[in-house]
Amino acid sequence: MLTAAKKVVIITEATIEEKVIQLLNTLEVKGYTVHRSLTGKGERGIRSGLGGLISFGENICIEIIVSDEHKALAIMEAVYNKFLAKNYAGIAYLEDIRVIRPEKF
Amino acid sequence: MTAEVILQSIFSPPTLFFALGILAAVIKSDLKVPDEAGATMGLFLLTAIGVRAGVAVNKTGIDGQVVVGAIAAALLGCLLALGGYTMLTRLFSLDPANAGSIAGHFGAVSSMTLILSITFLEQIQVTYEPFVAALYPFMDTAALVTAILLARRSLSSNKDGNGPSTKELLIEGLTARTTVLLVGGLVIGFITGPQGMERALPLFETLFFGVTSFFMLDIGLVAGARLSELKKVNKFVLGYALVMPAIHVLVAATIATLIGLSPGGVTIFAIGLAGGASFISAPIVMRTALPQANPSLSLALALVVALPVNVIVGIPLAYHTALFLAGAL
Repeated sequence: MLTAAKKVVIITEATIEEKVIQLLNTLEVKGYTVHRSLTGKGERGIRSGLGGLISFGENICIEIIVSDEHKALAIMEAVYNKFLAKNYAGIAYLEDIRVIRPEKF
Repeated sequence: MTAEVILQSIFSPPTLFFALGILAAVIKSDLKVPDEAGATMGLFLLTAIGVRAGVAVNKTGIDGQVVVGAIAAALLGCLLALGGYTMLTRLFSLDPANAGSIAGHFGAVSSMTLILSITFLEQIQVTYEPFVAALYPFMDTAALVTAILLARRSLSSNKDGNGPSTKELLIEGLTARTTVLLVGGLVIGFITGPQGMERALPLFETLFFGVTSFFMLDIGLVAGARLSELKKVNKFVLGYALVMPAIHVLVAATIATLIGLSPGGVTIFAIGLAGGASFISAPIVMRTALPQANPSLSLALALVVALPVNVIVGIPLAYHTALFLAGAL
């Protein structure tokens, strides 16, 4: 009943959410999920928000499910080249998952 | 007189709540204003400024001074960003990205400083031209765009088309929530007038000062949490953050006096618009427009240095500068 698929997870700065989504749209991603108001600690120190004033300082997590590894790697590479390699804090990783209704991805 | 007004400013509810917020953060209290409450208060205060200005403009009517004010605000925004950028790159040898980001933060408008300059004048019962607060988007957008363009001119790595274009920056500034709420509130207040707004005014007028005071608790908590970042700041740049708002106020107050604003209006123009350093809208704009800059640096300077100095001594001193210029010019 379940089919194997890949999930790309990107955790990065909330301020560039729109830009990352724009990039995903150019890569013909069929869907994604965004978690907001996240905090945590990484190489650049503790990430925390500004008391609800703005999203600056917070992290977001974007999950994208795709059917195969080839597509997943293309997404990760694009996000890495455009954002994570240079100026923005963030990580990206790949997970093996199993989905119902594989035609959605 | 000056000392008395400064003391009155220090011992006013907004300043004391701000201090309480900082203290709570420093002693690591579990006190926290929920994010949604902070966001709501911020939106409410901007709407209230707009609506009250609109109602007041409805009473006084519009004249050519509004247009002159808007042009002066935009030109001053460009000038402040240019001056700040030149000083930071030439005098302090700061890199273009950080210089642009800091000059942009300081040239842009701090809505909190604007709100506090209004509550200050109301506390000491000084009248002001109601439209001045609505000049916010002109100065803010002009300063941010100028600072970004200056920095980009020196940054070759921006050719990859990653950052927003000038047109996108202008659209972003003029469609930002601050602009929409301030100008939208002003239009609504103007259309309805005092009679139409009568039943809504208790919300916008009576609650204004109380919400401002309570909101400063939230700002104090946020500022207090970032206090430690000051240790990492270069001494010269710290000096810039202490001195620059005063220079902004002097230049802006002179211009505002020359275009014929009353001392109250000059105070709001000089400290409420020009003297504050933006810590709500500028950080996001700069993070995407000048990603090479260190975002914590400019935020710490705006929030932990410029805001407290303005709250405690900047606003009353700006008022006295306005009074002095009104007599001298």
